[in-house]
Amino acid sequence: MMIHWLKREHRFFPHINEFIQLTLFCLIFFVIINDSMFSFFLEPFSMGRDVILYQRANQIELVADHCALVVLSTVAAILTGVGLGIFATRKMGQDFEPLIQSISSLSQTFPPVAVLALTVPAVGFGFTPTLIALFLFSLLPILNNTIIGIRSISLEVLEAAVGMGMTKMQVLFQIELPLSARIISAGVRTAVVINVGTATIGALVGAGGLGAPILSGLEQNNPAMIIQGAFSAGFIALFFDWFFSCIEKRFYISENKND
Amino acid sequence: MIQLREIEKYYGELKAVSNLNVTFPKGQISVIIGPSGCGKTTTLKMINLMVKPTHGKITIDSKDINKFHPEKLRRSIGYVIQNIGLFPHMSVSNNISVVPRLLKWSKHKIRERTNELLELVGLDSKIYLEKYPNQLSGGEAQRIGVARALAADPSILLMDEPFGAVDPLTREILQTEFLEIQNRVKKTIVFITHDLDEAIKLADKLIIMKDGKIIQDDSPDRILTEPKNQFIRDFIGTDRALKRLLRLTSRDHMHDAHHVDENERVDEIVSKFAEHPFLWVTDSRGVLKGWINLRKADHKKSVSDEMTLIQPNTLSISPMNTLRDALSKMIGEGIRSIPIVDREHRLQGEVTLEGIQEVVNRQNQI
Repeated sequence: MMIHWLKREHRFFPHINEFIQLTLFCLIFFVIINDSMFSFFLEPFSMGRDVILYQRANQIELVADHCALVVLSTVAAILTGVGLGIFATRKMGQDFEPLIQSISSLSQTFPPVAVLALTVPAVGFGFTPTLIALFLFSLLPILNNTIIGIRSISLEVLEAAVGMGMTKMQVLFQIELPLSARIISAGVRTAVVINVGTATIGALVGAGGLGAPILSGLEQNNPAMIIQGAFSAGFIALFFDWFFSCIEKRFYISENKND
Repeated sequence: MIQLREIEKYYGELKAVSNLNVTFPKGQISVIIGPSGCGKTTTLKMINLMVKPTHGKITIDSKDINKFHPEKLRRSIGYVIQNIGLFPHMSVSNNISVVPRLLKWSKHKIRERTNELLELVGLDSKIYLEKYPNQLSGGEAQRIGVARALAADPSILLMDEPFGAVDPLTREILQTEFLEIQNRVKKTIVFITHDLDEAIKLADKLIIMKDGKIIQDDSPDRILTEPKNQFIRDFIGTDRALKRLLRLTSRDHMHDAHHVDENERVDEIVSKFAEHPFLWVTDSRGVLKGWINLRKADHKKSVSDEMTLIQPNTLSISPMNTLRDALSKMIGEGIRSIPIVDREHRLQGEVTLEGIQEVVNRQNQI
């Protein structure tokens, strides 16, 4: 009954589902960033130890660091990926498309840990090597989806746009990007979700974030701490996934008459 | 007026069109027709600079088109392509107003123009303005495509098989409407098709192309009566006489129809129509109801009792239908005359088999 009610289209409040989901996310988020409340829930997993949560930073700092890693690396990947994707689909960039594609696939075949190992000697420990690893790792889905999105636009639509007197820039911003926005946004969604998980390895090189309690927990054999990091990261991944699915829905343009 | 002089276009070694000399007169529909790959689309696209000719000169009202900025030129020329190419992420109103927005018209002016255009193509603006292309039928989308091309009131319209993707029935309706619109707006139109019936019905000037060359360039009547060579003869086929009927509308060749009111009594009218026992029956507003044969009717009864009913839209045609439609319907129904009715189904006149024969004979003598 409840599910049925949730699934219905609401005439007066069409976004009621999203609203309820957002409320739930906020509730859990509030628990996660509140150290005393979170430790209350994690207490049963501490196996009688005094220490329940990670001690060197509080949850707010850990979550903030983690989100900063993910958001900064993804924003850089969006700018680069969409930019390269647009370049590869222009007339002058066509020849570079195979090169761009193979470099971006290569960057994803490299495990992020290996990227860390290679970049730390060059840029030192901390935030920067992790950002570079995450950036390289999330470039491929965004770049690929940009190219696929732009290439999937029907030739008639493009011909009509040019024939009606749009400049190249107008075709790009009024036709190509709006029509491929949904596919690009799906690529960003994939990239962000991967990045939230992968960012935990940043703790290995001292980038902070939710990997830190996981590493500590493993060292001290304290499941509560492992769950602290893992649950928070999982929750953030779910949140981003949900957030981008909402954005994608807004970009949805049905090709089918019956939709 | 658009003039193409000594136009040649090569794609590498491949010759798309060569030695093209043609004029598209102002305010008329010029139809280019030919088999696939004959260079007709290339010719069209050279007019709005989407394809650059290798040699030759194109002028619009005696001005070389190379003097124009390509985007500015295209905004001043309406463009309709096959499958229309409506923008799927824009509502109907935004689709129609693309060029006015590129030209930075005021919002108020755009809204007025959009409503005006929807009315021109026969769609209710209240229903259609906020719809999206995926919610339109093929015929509706095509009408929006024409409205979009006319948006900034260009004097030239380029149309590349605009009615190619709709079903035959809708296509005929669209063609008829298109002619009505053209009668009002009088644009210089270059129209491409591979459908000969469509070409003959619409063209003021017909250009037949093959292998990148113009084979014959004349009025459709001249091409039908005096095909230049065997290729043209084969192309127009053996039913030339029937094809010429495509150019004649019922409106121009209908006669007054003998008709009676359904409320009259048979014996009162029988002497008046002694010469014409076969009559159409209308109601007091002139709406066609049926027909009656006075020779077989019971004189004591009223007309409405004795008449044979006609269902609306079955045994009648509109004034904009061609004589070929009329002939086809008469042969199909096995009758010798067919009533012409307007949109409200009011009787306007009739077309008869003898009448069509007379028209054909008269034309053959000219």
